Amino acid sequence: MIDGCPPGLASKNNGCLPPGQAKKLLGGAVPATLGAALLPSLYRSWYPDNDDYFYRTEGDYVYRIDRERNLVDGFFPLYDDYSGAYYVGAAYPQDYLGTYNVPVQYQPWYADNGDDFYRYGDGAIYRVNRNGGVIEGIVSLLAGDLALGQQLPSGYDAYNVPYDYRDRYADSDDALYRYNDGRIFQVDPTTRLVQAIVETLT
Amino acid sequence: MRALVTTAAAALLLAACGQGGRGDNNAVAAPERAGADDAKDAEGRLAGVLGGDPRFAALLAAAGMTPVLEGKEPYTVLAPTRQALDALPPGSIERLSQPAARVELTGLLRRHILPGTILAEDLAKAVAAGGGKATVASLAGEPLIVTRDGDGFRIADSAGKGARIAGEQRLASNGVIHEIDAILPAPAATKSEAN
Repeated sequence: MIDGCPPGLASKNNGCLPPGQAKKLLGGAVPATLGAALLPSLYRSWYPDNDDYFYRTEGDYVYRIDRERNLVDGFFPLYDDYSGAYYVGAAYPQDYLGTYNVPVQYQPWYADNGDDFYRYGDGAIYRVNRNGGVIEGIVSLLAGDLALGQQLPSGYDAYNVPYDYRDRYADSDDALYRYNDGRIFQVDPTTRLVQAIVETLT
Repeated sequence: MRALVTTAAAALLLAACGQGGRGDNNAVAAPERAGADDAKDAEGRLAGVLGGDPRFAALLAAAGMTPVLEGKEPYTVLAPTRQALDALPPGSIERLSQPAARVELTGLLRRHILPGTILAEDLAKAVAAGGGKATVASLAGEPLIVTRDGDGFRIADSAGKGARIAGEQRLASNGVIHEIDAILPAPAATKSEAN
């Protein structure tokens, strides 16, 4: 046992809740505890509530809730573990395949189409064959380590803003700017707190 | 919007070549700039200007990761030189190219890609500001440490295993490529070697 979990589940960092258990919430009414369980800051910015859905968490899964029907209509893991579960030629997990989970800032670029799904997992967005569910390509890599209101994590000492935005977002005594996962963030140079998303790449 | 972006990128590329007043002293081999149309713009992206040893591009293709470098998102690519790939144990490239090695290959390549566009001048400023050391995120989840190495830089993991940024940086419309003189090892390999 690892942290009280069988090794297979411990490696997924999902609080020992197997996908089969999480799946039982699908199609059901939203438990009161789930309705109040907001996502962590990073994931809230990736999966903001909208007119059609809201997103909540339990047992280290993200649950997508259909507002109109007030039921859970999809789920996928909350945390990345970089364990190698997703790679080209592997099947994207069937339990999550039905839920479009591309972070919102990437959705204009990666929308499902007649041939392919696009799905997120373990720091990457994959192109998935919608017939067989096989991962056919990796289209984007995400760091998943920078969130509003939090301390700038290790790894962002160097200015990394894309060319086209450097004139607008140059480091100064008043603000630092760092790129992360499709967005440019403003950081307080003194406290190193991530203060704002100032740009989403288009 | 696209025209504006393309124009801005072209201006920066010229500047980085020392023609626009914003470049540093690092030699920069600027790619031929893409035009306003999508096809030419795609040629100017990282996948199109990767250059260097074609075996690295072949490994990216084997992992199904070429689209990462073809998209609009900005990345900094640490591309191993021919000598770096030659230094791998015999048969390594062939083995890594096989489907059975895709988990390993995907992890290896992710260590060679960093989020955003980090130019040599950005590394220089960060290292100077950090008293000789700067930390950069990699897309494999493990940050890397950059230090000065002569007139260039060394980039390594927390155990000190890494590579020297060896050649000229190559600019693309969606990022930059730095050549490195060794493959960045897996953290597990680093631990076992250290032991």
